[in-house]
Amino acid sequence: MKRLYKYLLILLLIILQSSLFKFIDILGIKPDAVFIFVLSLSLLNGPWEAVYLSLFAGLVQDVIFNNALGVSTFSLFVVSYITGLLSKNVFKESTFVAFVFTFLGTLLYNLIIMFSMVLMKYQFNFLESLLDVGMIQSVYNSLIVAFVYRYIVAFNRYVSENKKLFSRKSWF
Amino acid sequence: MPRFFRNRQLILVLLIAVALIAAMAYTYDTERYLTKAESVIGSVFTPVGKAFYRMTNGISDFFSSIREIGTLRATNEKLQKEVEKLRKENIELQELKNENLRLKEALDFKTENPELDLKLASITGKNPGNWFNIFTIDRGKRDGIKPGMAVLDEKGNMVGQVTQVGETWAKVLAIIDRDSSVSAVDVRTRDNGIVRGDSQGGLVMIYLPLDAEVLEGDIITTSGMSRFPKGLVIGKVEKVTKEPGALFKQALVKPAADFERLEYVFVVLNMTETGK
Repeated sequence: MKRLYKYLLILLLIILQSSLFKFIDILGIKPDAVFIFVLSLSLLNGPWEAVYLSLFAGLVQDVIFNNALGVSTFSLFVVSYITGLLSKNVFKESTFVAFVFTFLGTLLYNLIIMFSMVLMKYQFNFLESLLDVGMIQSVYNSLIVAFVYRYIVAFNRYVSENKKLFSRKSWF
Repeated sequence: MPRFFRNRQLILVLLIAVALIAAMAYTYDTERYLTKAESVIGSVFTPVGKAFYRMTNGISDFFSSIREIGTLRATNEKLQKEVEKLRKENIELQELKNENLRLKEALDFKTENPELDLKLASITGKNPGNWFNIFTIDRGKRDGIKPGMAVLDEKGNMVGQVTQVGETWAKVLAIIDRDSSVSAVDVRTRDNGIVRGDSQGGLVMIYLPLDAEVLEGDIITTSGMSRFPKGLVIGKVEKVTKEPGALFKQALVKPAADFERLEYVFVVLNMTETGK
């Protein structure tokens, strides 16, 4: 049952992201709370979690806020899955590890969105946009992770406690 | 059997990735009515999003007033509380006053322009990312909204166009998005061009002929050569540039609509059917 909390929290973060976060932009760039949350849980719980959460968060965001269905889902899905795969070989609960994963993950996330935009015939200066949007968001996201990761770890522990009481496969 | 085919997780992931890319290719750049499932997701989300969106404008005022209260002396605790209470009330009144003013402006614009068939809508949320300037409104197919309709702010300035429509909600592509292009004209010189967004909150008017006499401060409006009604204000020219060897000039345009503080918008229901 507690697994549902993750999905509810993702919904809440999407709402906050689309309303409140316009006030905390730096140089016009907003951090991405949904991305941070999904990536952190993928790091903690591995590739299957990455698949479920990224598809859920990405599709909700795309259906409501994007014209091209899949544009943020695809990049979130790829980045989370890679993070989930790599998480087997690292010390997951270290904030520093999360910091590095978030920094590189945000860069890759923005790069994939930019490639999708190129395929959709958007016209923009690739390098300039990568520096203006991707780099700033990477720094911003990873700084936020440095402060909130321990809470995400605690939340994850709280949610996973009852795992044995409820069969994992009965949910999603 | 090769090892690859035994890794079921990887196969599933690849299939999902291909499906997502296919969905992207199929849905981008299309004006359409949303499917039932998409429409329902948005209908559930829209009222909650709307409440939060409204609240956030109050919240920024609220926090700044709390910060000020913290600096008052301890001896004035009683007064502080009074001040806090009054401030809260004041903010609420201010909110109401602002809302009243905005709606009044909207009403004025509507009565001054009887030829436009307008539908008032509230914004319920903005695209959470940094790449696309898309927002959602609380009106949909049920209210007569169709894909492609123009969207204006409460003073009648051009804001964007409806792209996808659900039963009770719709997505609007803002003119400042990179993907948006609107046929435009300089009011003073009648030079025609196309206005596109740069996604940094600004606009660029491209395809201006080399002999165009566009100057800083000129007003740019819709030209009437597309399906949008003509004469809708897009913005003001900030700078005119020409790159050496280029066949056209371009002008940087500051949008007339304030995209940061947008709360209510009008959707133009009587669009011309010709042109695209």
